[in-house]
Amino acid sequence: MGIQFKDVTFRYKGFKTEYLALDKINMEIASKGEIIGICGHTGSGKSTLVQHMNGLLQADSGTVSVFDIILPSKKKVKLNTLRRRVGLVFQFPEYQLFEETILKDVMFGPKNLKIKQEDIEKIAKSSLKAVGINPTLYDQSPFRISGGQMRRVAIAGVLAMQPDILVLDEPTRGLDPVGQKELMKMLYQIHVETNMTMLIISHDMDLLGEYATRMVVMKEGKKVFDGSKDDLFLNPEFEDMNLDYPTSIKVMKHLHEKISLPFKMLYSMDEVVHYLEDFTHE
Amino acid sequence: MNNMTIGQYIPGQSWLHQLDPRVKMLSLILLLVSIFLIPIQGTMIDLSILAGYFLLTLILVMSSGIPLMKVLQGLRPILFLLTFTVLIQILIIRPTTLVAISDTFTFYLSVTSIVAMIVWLIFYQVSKKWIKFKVLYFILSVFVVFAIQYVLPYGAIYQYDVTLYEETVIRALFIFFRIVVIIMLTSLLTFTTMTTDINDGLEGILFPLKWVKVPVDVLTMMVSLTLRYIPTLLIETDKIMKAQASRGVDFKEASLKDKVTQVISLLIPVFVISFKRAEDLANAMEVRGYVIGQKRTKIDILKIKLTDYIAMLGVLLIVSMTIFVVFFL
Repeated sequence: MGIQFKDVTFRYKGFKTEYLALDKINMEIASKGEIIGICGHTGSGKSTLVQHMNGLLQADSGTVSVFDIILPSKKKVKLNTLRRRVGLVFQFPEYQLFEETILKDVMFGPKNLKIKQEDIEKIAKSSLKAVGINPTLYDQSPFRISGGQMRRVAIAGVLAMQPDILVLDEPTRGLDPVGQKELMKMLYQIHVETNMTMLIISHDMDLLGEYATRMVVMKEGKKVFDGSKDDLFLNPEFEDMNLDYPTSIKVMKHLHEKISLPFKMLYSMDEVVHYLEDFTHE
Repeated sequence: MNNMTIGQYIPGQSWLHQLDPRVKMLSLILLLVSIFLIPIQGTMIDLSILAGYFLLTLILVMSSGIPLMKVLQGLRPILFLLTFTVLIQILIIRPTTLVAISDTFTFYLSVTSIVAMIVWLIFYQVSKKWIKFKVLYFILSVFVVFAIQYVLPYGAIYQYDVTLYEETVIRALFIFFRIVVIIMLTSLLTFTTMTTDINDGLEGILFPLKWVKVPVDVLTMMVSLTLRYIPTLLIETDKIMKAQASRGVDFKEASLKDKVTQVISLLIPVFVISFKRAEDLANAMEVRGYVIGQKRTKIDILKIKLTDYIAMLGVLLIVSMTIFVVFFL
């Protein structure tokens, strides 16, 4: 059992103004095996959507069921258990670092969950290893390492909660191209090892195209698409979603039009190169 | 979060809104000073001068188009202080001229009255959640406390007499109205003036300090930047709070020891962010040619209009009339 949204509507209430951020969202997310890419325009409700998944925001109407805990609930719910099961990594997570050493910072999450001291350190070390932080850095201050490393430490801080579902809000934003690729590879590696479901919010269609197994498109608070990558990019309404095609598909389309190369859905440039190589060999 | 207002500015088109902030602030200072010039001797003349000021304040509120209730709400934080001063005046202060205007009441602190008062106060604390007119209810409950002391003399421990004298009652009323007028006038300024305008006005009023080498423009720039960054930092704090909540922090229910670490987990990131923001801002300002101490032109130049002259004249007239009545009559 993962997460289920039923007719979820949410409004941001300001002074005399209201902003409809989510409009009757229905969706289901399994706890294993998926990488879900969430995309859409700025202000389309992506971040609001994911904040409902661990109870940071609660629906105005409709319900969100997270591992059989139904929100909003009339009874008092321990939101902590829910936040352990759904790990949420915010945009620019490096700003949440605060401890004296990297290891201590990663231990902060499990400590809040009242886990035994020896276990905490074990968990923290294994999550730092998973994000590829060198053990020599464990006793360094988290403010003295590079931006990319800070982000990895911050992600480790959420991984140390041992979540069943990991949600990442624009994890590659602000990193250099190499750093982006490495981070995504690392996340994919974690996904392969643990088989946990990951939700990734991103504007980078290349990245989503390469890794996502399922795509969700938001527009003005509504879910306008939910399905496989192939269905999305072959969708006749794709143009209305304010999205761009991944570079590999653009290249394939171009080649198809200019030299009438047979079109094939390919999601990374490596695959395109392989395809062309195979083609020329024949 | 996004459209939070700092300060209490209420948009409007009245003449008070359009008055030059310098004139408004100067007038406020002059009026406050002259209110404090009225001697507190407990005579009817003093009270009537003050009543005149009260009337003037009411007229100003009416003409500004701001609901009177909104202005009176500014009194809520000092309600306790107000009640306290009035009670002290009536109960403790011995007047010089003993003109009694009521019989002598005897109040008892007795076993029965103390128990009754405690019961009443507990009832008040519990019940005030459901009462709509909280201020009236508070005054009523103070009255009830004294009524209990009057009607329950059984098992007396201590007793005291209170007589209402003309002088003390007038003094109490005087102090009450003085505080009310001061608060109302001051909140009228904040209701009708934007923080940026207050800042500009402050710069305009403080300009003589430049002659003694006080960097007025730097100080006002600091004030305006601080005001500008309060909402930004609140938004950042909200984000960090959410991020730490996702790491299992429960800001609502936690032991005191945990709370300390939790507050640190919030403070340090916000501290780091504000430094980063400050650095970015400093660079952005420098890139656009801001040099400390250099003369700067303004996009909105304050201009004194006819209404400003009239308002200033009116205020000066009122102040000089007060001085004349107080010192020469």
